[in-house]
Amino acid sequence: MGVLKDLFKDYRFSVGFILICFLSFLAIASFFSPYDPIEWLQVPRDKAPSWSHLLGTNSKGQDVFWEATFAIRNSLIIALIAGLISRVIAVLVGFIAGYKGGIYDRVLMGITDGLLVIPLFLILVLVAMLLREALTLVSTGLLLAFFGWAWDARTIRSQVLSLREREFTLTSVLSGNGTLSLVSKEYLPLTIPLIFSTLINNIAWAIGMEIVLAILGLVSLDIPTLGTTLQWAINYQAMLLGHWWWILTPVILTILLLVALYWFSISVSEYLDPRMRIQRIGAK
Amino acid sequence: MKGIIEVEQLQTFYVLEYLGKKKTVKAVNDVTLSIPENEIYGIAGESGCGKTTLLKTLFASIEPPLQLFEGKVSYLIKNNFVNALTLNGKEKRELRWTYISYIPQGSMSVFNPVKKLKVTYMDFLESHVRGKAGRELLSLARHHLEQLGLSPQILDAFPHQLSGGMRQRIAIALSTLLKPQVILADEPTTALDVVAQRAVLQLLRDIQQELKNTFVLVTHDMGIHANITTSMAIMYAGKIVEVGPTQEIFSNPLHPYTQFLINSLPRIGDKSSKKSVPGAPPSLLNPPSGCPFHPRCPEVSDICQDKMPALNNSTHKHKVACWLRREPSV
Amino acid sequence: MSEILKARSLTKIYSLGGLFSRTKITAVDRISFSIQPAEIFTLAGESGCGKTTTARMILGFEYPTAGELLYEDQNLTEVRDKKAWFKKVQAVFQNPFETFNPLRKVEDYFFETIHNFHLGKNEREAEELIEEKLQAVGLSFCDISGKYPGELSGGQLQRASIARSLLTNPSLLIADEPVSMVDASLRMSVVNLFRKLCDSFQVSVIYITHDLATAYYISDRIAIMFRGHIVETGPVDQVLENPKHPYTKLLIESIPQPDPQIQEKAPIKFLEEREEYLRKGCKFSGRCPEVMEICKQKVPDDTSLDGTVVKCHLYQK
Ligand SMILES: Nc1ncnc2c1ncn2[C@@H]1O[C@H](COP(=O)(O)OP(=O)(O)O)[C@@H](O)[C@H]1O
Ligand SMILES: Nc1ncnc2c1ncn2[C@@H]1O[C@H](COP(=O)(O)OP(=O)(O)O)[C@@H](O)[C@H]1O
Ligand code: SF4
Ligand code: SF4
Ligand SMILES: [Mg+2]
Ligand SMILES: [Mg+2]
Repeated sequence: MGVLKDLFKDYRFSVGFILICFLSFLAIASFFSPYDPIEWLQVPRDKAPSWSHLLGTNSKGQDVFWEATFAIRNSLIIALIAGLISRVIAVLVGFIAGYKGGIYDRVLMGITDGLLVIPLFLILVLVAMLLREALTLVSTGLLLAFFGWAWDARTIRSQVLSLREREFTLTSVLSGNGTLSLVSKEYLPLTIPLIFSTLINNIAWAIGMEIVLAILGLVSLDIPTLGTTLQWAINYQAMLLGHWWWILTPVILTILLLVALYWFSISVSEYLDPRMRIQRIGAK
Repeated sequence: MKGIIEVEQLQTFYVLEYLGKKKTVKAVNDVTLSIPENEIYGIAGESGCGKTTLLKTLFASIEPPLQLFEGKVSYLIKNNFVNALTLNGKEKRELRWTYISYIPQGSMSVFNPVKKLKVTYMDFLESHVRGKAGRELLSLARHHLEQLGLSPQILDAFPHQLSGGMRQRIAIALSTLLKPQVILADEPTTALDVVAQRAVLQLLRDIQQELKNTFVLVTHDMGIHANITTSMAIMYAGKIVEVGPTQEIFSNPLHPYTQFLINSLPRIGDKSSKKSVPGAPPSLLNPPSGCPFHPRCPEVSDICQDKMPALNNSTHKHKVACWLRREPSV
Repeated sequence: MSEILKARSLTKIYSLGGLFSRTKITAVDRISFSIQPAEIFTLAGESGCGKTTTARMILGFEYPTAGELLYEDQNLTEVRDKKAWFKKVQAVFQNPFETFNPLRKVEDYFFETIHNFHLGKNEREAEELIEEKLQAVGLSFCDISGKYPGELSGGQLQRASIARSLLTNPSLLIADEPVSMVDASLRMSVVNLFRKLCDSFQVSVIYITHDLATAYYISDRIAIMFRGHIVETGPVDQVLENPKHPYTKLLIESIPQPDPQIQEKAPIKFLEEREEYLRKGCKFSGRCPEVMEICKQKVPDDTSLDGTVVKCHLYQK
């Protein structure tokens, strides 16, 4: 509990945390939506915000507020799939390459560098075009996961490389610890902050990438996400026609989400920073 | 006679806040010192006793969590004593590197590993010295290195291409580029092997003899003090417990702590058993009452636990803060 | 008595630099020595002369490029079971503040060692064993229990590190500059400990240092290393009271004498280690005050002299 108390002293954490709670609450609210997210013409079209439709309605005849709850939920699902799966790959690749070294390192870093040098964006677009029909939530998430781990694997590897040179590695080996317990007991606690901050950054990246893919019309536009909502609004020239509530809703939600993630990430990684943790141990 | 640096009743503490509780680490606790001009002055003491904090305070670089509670640090500048702790930011910057230089602990590892030495160095200088163009400073630096017997080409090397001893010597040489009157050096020989140590000491001596300035040399290694300092102070738990000419301190150490420090030094040709100071260094968060050395002192008596002895105010240069060694007042 | 560890022409070559411009550094160059039971053997020399590399080869962290290491007549390079090896050989390192992970409790390493080497059946036995070893180094379990490395002093950490290494009852302890980062005020308590362990527990110690004063104080035999070679070796009194090799003389002279009467020393030359490693002939010839023409051409051979072995052309016939 002391941990949370400490964290809440940091306004960035408090604001980020409250925003994330608020957005997650919206995502959960989607389960109670009175409308179907996909059906058109469920409500009168193009109505400005009012009590019966908090954020108005769009040209497809959908309630903007309830559509937005689905959009957040789906965007978060994509981003979490992308973030978590790419973390697993990045951590495995980074640790094995860094700790085992030698041939493991060369092969794994070869693959990583390969991924890093190809123009990622082009490939994403290409793959998305090929898979277009099949780009659902899960497949979008997996696609982003597949392209989102390489840089972080390199970062994790270089941290493991430097940890391997530290004397406590030898103490641990002399204490009879095998590779697995060495890595999990000695290195993981010291790399958690890095893994965590790359996770948050990766989630933010995935949210952004999804929007880009949607605007290019490369994902299934039937599923409401922050990106597809925006894409529909742009397509129907919402701004020109004065339907600002339709286009501003996904824009503001995206900005809130990215700001929340950013503040959350820097405050937590500062808290987890080993130097700070050591100081706190000392100050007790 | 007054020295070039007069430290009076200095108290600088670290104030830490953890979960709403305030703690103070009494790192420099009532220190009074007079550091003479034109010599190498040593400050000895085990790690954590406040040596680095004292130097930071002398350099008037007091940043949170470090706070000044009391005291003065006066420098003799153009025949006037100036209290460095009351200067404003601009005035301090004007003194730094031209009048006073600071070689921080571990400065041999501060060079940016992916940049050539000269790049790190120029970045550093340009943010500190105004009025001189980079090119001019660099050629000055090359000339300076050459004078000190170091190869100027070293500036074109990357840090990893040089040994620790070489990097340390470059750091020292460069920080004395603008011929400061006072140089504060924090553990410049620690973590170096004896041969590299000797080279560093040789350099310090050369610079001192050339500039006729004042060095304040901090190290926990008594051997180094014996080798290079003229007079010295022994620090224990944030306090100065003994001061005097180095020769006298070595030939007739008065404080029980100093006696341990000197008698525990091994020498070739002497196989007699050597003992360290017993016990462990005290925590400055909760320093022992009275004489801070009392939990480890073999000669402790009742009064030691209650009251801190002051440095005796004999006219003699050699002073000690210990109840046992109080001479009858003159 | 027969020796417990024997090194024969032990060699380690590192390649440095990029793909095309490889330089090879012979960090350890055909060194031979042996360790007797219950003795302290010092490897001394300035930094970058191959001491740590030698220690790492003995511990099995590096693979020798050539030569052999025999432990009780078993060739170490053929030992596959590292864990069994760590039961017999343990080590203590230079920086006590880095010996333990700053985010883990010191006691964790003790319990892990006991668990991994099956040294105790239950928690109580484990704690008894830990207490016994900590007592041997002048600490007790309550001094370290529940503590993180940042909460202990350098001297305490170094002693805890020694206690941990003793858990498996090793017959050989490698101490790589164990006191160079320990405060001068606590240094001798750690140094004395090695003598005590050697005398009362029959542990042999390889004491690695650049400080010949402590080496003289505790060790039985000594080998002076310079840029990969052992340049002089023999009983410590012989070598240090009556040094023959010019490098040994330099090292002795460089000790900061605790005597303010002798402040000035002759200026010394200071060369970078890479340059000296790549030198032809005697590696010390760039700094040696007695250098001769032949020194720059040919690496001197070992010469036996008054119970010591010296590698210098001055003494070669
Ligand atoms: N930034 C800091 N915050 C809190 N305490 C500190 C800080 N730096 C040093 N200390 C404490 O102040 C005391 C003196 O430290 P220092 O001046 O670095 O000693 P020395 O240089 O003699 O080793 C020590 O107890 C240390 O733990
Ligand atoms: N892993 C390594 N790769 C390349 N060179 C190394 C490596 N380890 C040590 N060396 C080189 O070998 C030489 C001897 O190093 P070391 O054994 O660490 O010396 P010491 O312990 O005596 O200071 C040095 O020149 C060092 O740079
Ligand atoms: S004052 Fe007392 S405790 Fe302190 S050093 Fe002197 S005798 Fe020891
Ligand atoms: S061989 Fe020659 S250069 Fe080398 S130490 Fe002997 S005299 Fe000096
Ligand atoms: Mg310090
Ligand atoms: Mg070494």
